[in-house]
Amino acid sequence: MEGIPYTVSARRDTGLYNAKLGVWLFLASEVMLFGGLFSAYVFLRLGAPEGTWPLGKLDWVPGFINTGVLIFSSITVILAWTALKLREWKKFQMWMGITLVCAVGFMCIKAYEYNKKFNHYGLFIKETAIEKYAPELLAAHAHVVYHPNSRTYEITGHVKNGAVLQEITALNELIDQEPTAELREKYTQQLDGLKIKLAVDEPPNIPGHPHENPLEELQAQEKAEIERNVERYDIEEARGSVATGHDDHPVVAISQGDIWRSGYFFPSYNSFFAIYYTMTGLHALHVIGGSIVLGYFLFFGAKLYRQNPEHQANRVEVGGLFWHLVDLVWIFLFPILYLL
Amino acid sequence: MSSHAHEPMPAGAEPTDEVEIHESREEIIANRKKCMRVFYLLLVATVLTVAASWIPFNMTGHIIVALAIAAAKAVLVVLFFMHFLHERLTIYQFMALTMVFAAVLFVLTYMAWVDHPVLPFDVYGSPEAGP
Repeated sequence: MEGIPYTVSARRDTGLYNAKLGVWLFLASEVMLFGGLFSAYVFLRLGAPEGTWPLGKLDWVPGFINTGVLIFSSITVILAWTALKLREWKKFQMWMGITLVCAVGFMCIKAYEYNKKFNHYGLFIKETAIEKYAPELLAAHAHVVYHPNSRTYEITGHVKNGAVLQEITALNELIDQEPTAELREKYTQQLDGLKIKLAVDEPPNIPGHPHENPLEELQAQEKAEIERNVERYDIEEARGSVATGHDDHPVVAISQGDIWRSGYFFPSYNSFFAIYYTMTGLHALHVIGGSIVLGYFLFFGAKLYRQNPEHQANRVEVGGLFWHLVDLVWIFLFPILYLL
Repeated sequence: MSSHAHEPMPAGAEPTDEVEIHESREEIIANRKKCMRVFYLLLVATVLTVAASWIPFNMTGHIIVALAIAAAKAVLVVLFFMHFLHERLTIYQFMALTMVFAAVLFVLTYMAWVDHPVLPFDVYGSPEAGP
């Protein structure tokens, strides 16, 4: 380590030790990286037709807990650094250990959230076919969103029969390959026999933003008759199939021929999920990277600490600066993805 | 951090002369106390963010309130956790430049957005579009 200058003392011209200057330059590049994605978010949202940007698609509770976890880990990394400055190695180990536990906790909550979304399904019903389903959907209090560009009605929920879904996916691929009129007709006939059963989501309860059901404009039928057609979601039957854990949600069955497109909440589902997975995925990579660096300081830092404790403290300081940036990015991600 | 020695460069000195960085124990402990207070503030601000999302504003109001709180939290983190408040001029210059470039990035995206024609059909192909 003798060969690297300015690890402890500062250069006179910058007034900084080299690693600090280096990490701030790196943070500047990170601001540009996330800045590009934040601007993408802003303009994807502005570009979405009015009323179609998904609201309330993410559960705020895990996001809220994760915000707390990251803020807490930010203070523990400062406590770890301060402990080194005060030459308290045991305390450094404790606080840095807690920081790493927070990082693992954050990733576990994130994985839980991703998994939940990967099991969620949505489909877009063609405008020409919506009248068939309107009574059922109204009775089920389904969350329905009209998409003017594609002239479709979107509903979301949990799929009840995964096997049917596989067949549908296979047929969809055929249509994608050869979109001729004959093939479309041929497969549409086949697909009509296949129905996707969806335990539908209800509209999210967002104060100041009441959900206007587009179906209510289409239909004004007697509710009593409608109620009869609705079957309840059977938890026992659903066990082992795709939809689990979403008990008591009414199920509606939509013929594949009436569906324009459908899919799980993967990045390809819509612009919101594309930017959600991109931003939180990149952020998660930063959490992993930061943990590796901080973990290295914790588990392999004892030797350097004995030789040059101030150098070790400076390393932890620059690692901590990166960790604070990770926290900073999440401070913005939480409201824009979970609450707005 | 606030006590970095930064004397004017003596005539004839190498520009890369080493300068000792010295912080007293008291300063380090005072800084730790300050960071703890900021930590509590950040927790309160996070609760406020969620609480504000239940107030029946319209969507514009929600966006303004949530982003204002997020910006306040970000300022706290940068100034105190990242001790930007007591940094060297070089870092201020770098970050000022970064902010300018980040703003340009937003403007560029905006320009691409207004330049993009509004298509009369969905880019995925509407159900009626046909082959």
